[in-house]
Amino acid sequence: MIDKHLLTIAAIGRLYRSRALSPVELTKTYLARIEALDDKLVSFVLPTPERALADARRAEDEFTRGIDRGPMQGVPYCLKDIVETAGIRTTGQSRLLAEHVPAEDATVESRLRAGGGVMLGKNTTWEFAHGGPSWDVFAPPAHNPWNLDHHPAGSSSGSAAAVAAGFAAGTIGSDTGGSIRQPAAACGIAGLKPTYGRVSRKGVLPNCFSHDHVGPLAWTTEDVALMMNVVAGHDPGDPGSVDLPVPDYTTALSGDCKGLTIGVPYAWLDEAKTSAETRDAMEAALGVLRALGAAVVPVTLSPLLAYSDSKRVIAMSELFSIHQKTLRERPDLLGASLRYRIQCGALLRAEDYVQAMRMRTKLTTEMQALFRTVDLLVMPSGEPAGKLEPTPHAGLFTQSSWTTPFNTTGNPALSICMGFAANGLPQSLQIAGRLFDEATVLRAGDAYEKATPWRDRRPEIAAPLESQTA
Amino acid sequence: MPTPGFVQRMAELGLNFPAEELDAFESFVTDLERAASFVRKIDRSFAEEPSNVFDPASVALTRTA
Repeated sequence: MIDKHLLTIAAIGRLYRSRALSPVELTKTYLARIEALDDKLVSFVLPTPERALADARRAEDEFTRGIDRGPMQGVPYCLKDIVETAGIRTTGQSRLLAEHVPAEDATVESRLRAGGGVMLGKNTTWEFAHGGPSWDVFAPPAHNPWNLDHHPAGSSSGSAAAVAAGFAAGTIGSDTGGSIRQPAAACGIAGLKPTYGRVSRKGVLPNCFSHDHVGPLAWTTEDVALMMNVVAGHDPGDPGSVDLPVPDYTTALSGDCKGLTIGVPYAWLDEAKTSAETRDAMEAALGVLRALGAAVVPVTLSPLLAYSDSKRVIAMSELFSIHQKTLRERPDLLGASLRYRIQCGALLRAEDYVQAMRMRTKLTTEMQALFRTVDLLVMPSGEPAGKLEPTPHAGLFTQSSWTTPFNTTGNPALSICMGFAANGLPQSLQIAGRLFDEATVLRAGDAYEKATPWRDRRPEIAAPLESQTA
Repeated sequence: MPTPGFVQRMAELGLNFPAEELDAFESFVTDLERAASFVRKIDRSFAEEPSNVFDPASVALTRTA
């Protein structure tokens, strides 16, 4: 049998239900790995072993009594440390919230608990999911499991690193401009930004209200689909939540792409100065998707910078409104990176915010019109991860991002592993779909993963404990 | 905004920061000003009301090609 800590959520579920694996046994395996190895990776800001073991014993007892709560029952997962947890510290990686112990669970955590999940702890992030990587905040940043000298992207940094390293089966992150998909890309796993309104944000510390999304990360797209089956759905407590039926996302996983038309915005690759290695990897991926039955066509959209400018003007205005009191009264509690970014918001004018919202409407209308002619859009999620070092201050808002457009428009977008660069770091493929059509996005991602060998490769840190070198 | 004038404006708003951080902060201000200038320039009707586009009606979009 495969090492227990490398099992997918789908496999864990099958083994639990055939009584071939125990939730307590699996949870102890993950906890031992976190304790032994996370000083290298820094993927957890707070492991919660007592809570995890209590959850695991409850799941084991319920399986014994024939109670089945669904795909997350007994499955060890973790949460980005902006997801509030009742009675468990939630810092947002900020000294401002060093002692913050919420009274209630976020809705996404409530759903995982009700589904019988096993919470292993809280994952390292960037301060308030925005300013990073930083070394002058509540805790240091996470490292990339494929090469510890490199970053795991952000801001769901520790979440993605933990899954790739075999510290957890799945995790919950948030995404305001790419913060689920870019860490998933950097760490070679699957991460879904659902449609805006599909997964509740209630109880998740805000970054930018109008662009914040919450979603799952896991080793495979199939596991992401299983997690979506538990966390998706309407929540009256989230003003952006949409009351629409939630499908069983696993039923869409047909293993092929027959009948799908996939658009490729090639101008975005030029605008982002895509490396030859990443272009080659994407062309190879398109070949796989064609072989799976998809038709691939070039498409044209507004430049990436238009999406980024709209998003950043809105985000800086909203961020400033969230943090202005702290900036005036206790700026010393915020790291420099976040502080510089959000102070800028004070300089924006009311007309800038309104005009940026108008631009967002224009861009969103254009995107939805395009989705009348194609089923999916495909492009890289990002280039392979660079060195772990502070982000340069200059040029922050002029960097081209392939992930931000889908925060602007709200469309669902998935990042999956697209192979490996010559330096061994993961390449990534982004698949975006129509509003509320996560099912087709997941279908294509799952089919691609099952047609390629990338899910068979793990970083060295994911080896069993007994084979780890000091 | 990229000129030191923004420092006074920030101070009037009750936002102060150490002088040694000025260069780093100015980089962010310069970048954001460029983004803000870009959105100001787009030609939209004065009457256009910005809207939240993520409503359930969007799901009714169907493929027509």
